[in-house]
Amino acid sequence: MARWDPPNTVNANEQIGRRLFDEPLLVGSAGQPSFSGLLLTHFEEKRGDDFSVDRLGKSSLDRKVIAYLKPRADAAGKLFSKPKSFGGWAVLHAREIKKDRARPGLQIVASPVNDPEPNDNVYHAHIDRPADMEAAFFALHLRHLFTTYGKVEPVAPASVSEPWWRRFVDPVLKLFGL
Amino acid sequence: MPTRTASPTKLNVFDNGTEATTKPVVRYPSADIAQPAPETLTQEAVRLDPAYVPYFLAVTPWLTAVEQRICNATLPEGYATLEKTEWVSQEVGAAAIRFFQNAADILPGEPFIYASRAGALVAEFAAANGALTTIISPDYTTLFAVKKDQPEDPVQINVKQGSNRLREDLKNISQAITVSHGKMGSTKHR
Repeated sequence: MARWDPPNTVNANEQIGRRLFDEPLLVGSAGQPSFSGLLLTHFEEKRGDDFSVDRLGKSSLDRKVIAYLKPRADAAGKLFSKPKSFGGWAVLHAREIKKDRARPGLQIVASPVNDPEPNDNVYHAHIDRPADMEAAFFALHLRHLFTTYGKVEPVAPASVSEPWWRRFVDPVLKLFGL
Repeated sequence: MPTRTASPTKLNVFDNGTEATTKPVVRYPSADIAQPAPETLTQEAVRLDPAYVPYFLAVTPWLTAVEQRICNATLPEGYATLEKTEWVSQEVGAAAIRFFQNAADILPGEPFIYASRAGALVAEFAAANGALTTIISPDYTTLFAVKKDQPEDPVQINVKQGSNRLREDLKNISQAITVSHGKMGSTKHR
């Protein structure tokens, strides 16, 4: 069966995912209480007002779509000034973003990227930040929606390749205490 | 300290037998007397009297630890190019320490702190009936709180640094997320 071909408009039943990259924490902050939620940094946009997301399936998570997006997300992690590893997506239904609550719902716009591989993404979409919402509140609001009405879809980290000879040399070095 | 060496009423008797009223003479110590030798200064500077060792009880048991973490993560001048989520600027660090010193007694508990990608300090508080996130920047403190039984209506408040509303707003939020009753407000900007 062919991979899902996304339409030009984002439907309410679609699964929307926000990529989660590891972020270095504060220096010297050991011994803190644990925090089980998602860090706000995952929901901050540094490249403008549009909040980038991936469309992960027509109504549920589509494994073929995830297989398509995973290497692209890994490659995107290497583009940061300090490379970051990709750990998965925060996922929820599009209708939870579009729904009017205490605030009006947000609009999701399909915006496929046609760059050369691996920077292309036919499943890319974005959420426009309303003019009356400050960037910090926008990030807080989106994190609240993904945390309250969504879930985290983890992925296995990209395998770290090491040269084949390390398998033989390392045990020998260990014998000599090196 | 200048030293007075003559009384204003003292009469000087000149060799020719005439008397004249003299003005008081004030002799100022010379520079070498006024400033002690460097060795003396050093010795005085390091001398500590045990009676003056301060002993204060912290407002909360965790305040000192949080202040120390912020100090550890405060970036010295000239290192602004380092990773933003690993460090905070001196302005943000100072604002964060002021915030915790001002509000530690009414916050729900010890926070989990980290830096935002925009360079602000984020503090996450968990409580029995909800959660509070504060974002501290040199100009504003942003409060975002969600009650477990009112997830559709989170409270968002932006408080300018130095505003006397901060403690009142924080107190209301803390009470709302630590006890099971009470309705929080809606979006406010002050």
